[in-house]
Order: sequence, then C-alpha cells, then structure tokens
Amino acid sequence: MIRAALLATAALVCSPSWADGGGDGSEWLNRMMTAAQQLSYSGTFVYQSGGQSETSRVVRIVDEQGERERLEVLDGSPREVVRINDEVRCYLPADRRVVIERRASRRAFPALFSRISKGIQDHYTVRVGEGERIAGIEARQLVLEPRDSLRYGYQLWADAESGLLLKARTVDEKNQMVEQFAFTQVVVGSSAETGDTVSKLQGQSSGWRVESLDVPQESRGESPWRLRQPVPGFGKISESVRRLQDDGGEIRHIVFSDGIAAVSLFVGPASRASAAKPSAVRQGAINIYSRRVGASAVTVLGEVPMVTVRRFAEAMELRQP
Amino acid sequence: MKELLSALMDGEFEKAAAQKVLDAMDALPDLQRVWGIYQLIGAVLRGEPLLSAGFGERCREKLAREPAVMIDRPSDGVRSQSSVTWAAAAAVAGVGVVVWAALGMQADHGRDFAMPGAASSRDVQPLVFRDEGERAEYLLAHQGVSPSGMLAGFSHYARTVARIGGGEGAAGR
Repeated sequence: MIRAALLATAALVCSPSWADGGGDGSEWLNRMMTAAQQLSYSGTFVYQSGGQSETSRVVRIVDEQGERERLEVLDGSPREVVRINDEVRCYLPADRRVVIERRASRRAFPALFSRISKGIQDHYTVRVGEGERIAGIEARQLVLEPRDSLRYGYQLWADAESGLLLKARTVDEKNQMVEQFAFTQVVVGSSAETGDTVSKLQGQSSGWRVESLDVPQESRGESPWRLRQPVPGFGKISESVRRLQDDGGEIRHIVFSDGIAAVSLFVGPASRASAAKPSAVRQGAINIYSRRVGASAVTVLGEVPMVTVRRFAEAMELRQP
Repeated sequence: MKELLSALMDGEFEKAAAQKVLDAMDALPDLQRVWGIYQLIGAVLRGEPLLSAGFGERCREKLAREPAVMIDRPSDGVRSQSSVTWAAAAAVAGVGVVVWAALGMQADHGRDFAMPGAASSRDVQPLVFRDEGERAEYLLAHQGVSPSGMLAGFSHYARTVARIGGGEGAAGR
C-alpha cells in the first residue's frame, strides 16, 4: 500500500495536474495508463453495448507480490475473470468451461507496454473536455476524435487526482455510442482484502473443460505473412506463435496498432474456420472478420469499425518465396 | 445494351462478361443513367425503402474512399455472381444509395444502409464460434495487447465474457 501511494504521489508531482488544466492530452493519456497499471482499486461498474447493460464488480490489488485482479459479472449468468500476474482465467459456469490465458510478461514485449506516444495525434485529435462528477469523484474529460473512418472515437473521463479511468465511451463516426464502461462506485487505493481477488467459482469447476492458451513465443525474423496493402495509420507491433494444446498445431498472432486501438490477426489451420465463405460478427466495440486463405483461416479482430478489420483480412497473404 | 444491363442486374453474368459490361458503362454515361433507373425500378417493385437524396452524397464519398481490395479480384475464386453485381454497383459511384437498396443490402436499424465493410454484405455470413470458450480465447489474447484495453484496466475484461453487445451471429446468448 505504501509503495502504491508513493508511486501515485510521484506521478502527481512529476506530471501535469488535471486540476490546473496544464499539459497536453497525450501527457494525460499517459497519466491514465500509469494509473491503470499501478493503482489498486475496487468498485462497481456498468458495461453497456447494443442497448443492453451488465453490471460487474472489480477488485485490483497491486503490491510486493505483483498484481491480482478479479471481475465478477453481477447480472445474468455468473461469470468471473481472475488474474494473478501473467495468468488470466475466465470461469464460465453456464458452459462448464475455464479458459486460461498465460500472457507474455512485460519484459518480453516491451513495445506493447510502452507509453502512448504522441504519434497518436497523427490519427486522432486529442482535446481536453469539461470537468464532470463520475461516481462522486471529480473527473476530467479527454476526447479522442479519429481523423478518418478506419477507427472509432473515444470519450474518456479520469479521476482528476489519481488519473484512474472512471468512464470510457467508444463512439462511431456519427458520434453514436458503440460501447461504454462507467464506474458507479469506486474506491482508489488498496482497501480490499487479498481474499477479494480469489475466485469464487474455482471451487465448483471440477469436471469443467479447461482450455489453455500457452505463453506466446515471439516470432523473430521475417514473417511468412504480410499485408498486400498497408492499412493507413496502423503499424505492426508484435508477432508471436502459440501452440494449440488439443492438436499440436499453432496459432500465429500478429498485432497492429495506431497507438490506441489494436487489431489482432490470428492465423491458424483452416479446419478451425466455419466455412469457405468469409464470416463476421461484432462484440461491443470489437469487430471480427474471418476468411480462408489457402489452407489457413485468418481471423481479424479489434476495437475498430468492421470496414477496418475486413480490410486487414482481405490484405493478408502468404509471402512468396 | 440495355438488355445486357438488365441481365447484369439479375446476376446472370460470369465475372469476365460482367466486367465487359462495366467497362462499357464507364465509357457511356447514358448507360449509367439507365442502370440507375433499372435499380430504382427494382427497388420500387420490391417495396424497399428509398433514402433521402442527402444520404446519397455521403454514400458516394464513402464508396470513393473504399480500397480496391474490396472489389472482386480475379485471384479469389470463391466470389459468387451476386458479389460481382455488388462490385459493379460500387464501381458506378454516381448512382449512389438507390443502388444499395436495389441490391438488397440490409439496413442497420435507425442508421444508414450497410457499407461495403459491414457484416451484412451478401457475400459475408455471420461468424459463429464453436462455443463460448473459443470466443473467449480470441478476446482474451487480444485484450492483453490492446492499448485501449490496458488504459481501461481490468474492467475491459467484462467485454470478454459479456452476454450483451453481440452482432448478428454472435455466440453470446
């Protein structure tokens, strides 16, 4: 707790204050990124999309032992996501399924966890909005407006003191809401007990099917895949492979980003594709498009408009020898 | 030539023949006007809603920005005749929204007609995951590398397991 407080204090001293209106939007974005990574907090928030909403409780503790988090969906069928450092587990009782993702540590992929660069201003205009109270906390608004139709816009409200993101709304080109996260109640700081981050569903998961994603291995050298045409504003930031535990094949995971939004390109055996025809679906702000390329299935997903994921998918091809 | 236009509208051409008709339309503006009239007649006969003239300009601007990869390519042998007809409409940008209506593009409720990148294009089917586990795998792997996901912190995992906000064909229930 002391460490977290020192870090938060250092951030306040070294960075422009929200309250005095100083600094540009990029610096405040980095304040928010730092807060998300270093602060402990607990609260209740509402996730909205497609005219519906779900309420969840979240607890996050950062201390000498690392990071522990737990999210519990309070509406509808019970669902839970638990993270202990580099391992994330999703408990899905309705499907009798546990999905485990072991992510690469931050040391292995430094580019993914670096500051949000000022380069995002090539693709978004970043401006400071009005102050507002969110969940009883004084917040400052930051607005990211896309410069083209390949990406969404963002309205972000963060705690003026700690920088913790309190409310985030993703909007399309007509400024209509695509999805929104908003705390209704939150306490910043490690007031939660360690036991609050322990899974409540793990005890009943005996006999459930466990699906596990191995730690991704960074892929070095030239990729066998490339984009026939680059998608403006998106640069490649990583490429890794993961072995599938059931059949021993591998999934290649290529990530592009414009600094805020990310697009993941998954390439795997075509047997995993549903059909020869391209297919698509939306999940909140995430659009997903899948097509077959030879013996492979290319599945593209990201928090960008459907036209963008489709453009990535259509451009993917095997590099000719 | 008008008979050829009619056949093109009905999707009766193979790709190579359809391209020849399109090339002719490029050279003869009058044919474009006739194409537009045929599409309008088709829309009226099918009782499809016609949008205001104001939308047409925005639609044409969006079509003009669409990359060439969205149009049928000879290397992709999976495309159907109906998708060639769609590609022909995109090429004749001057006809605007009426063309979309005549091709039976699905309207997104309360919003404009679907654009070329949307899931409701005739040549794209709804994606259905094997089960919730597979969907969660993809979303989890992506969540860990997304800057906006990291910015929002752990709250964004609510989307990974959400039963709301799914588009057509979503595995969520």
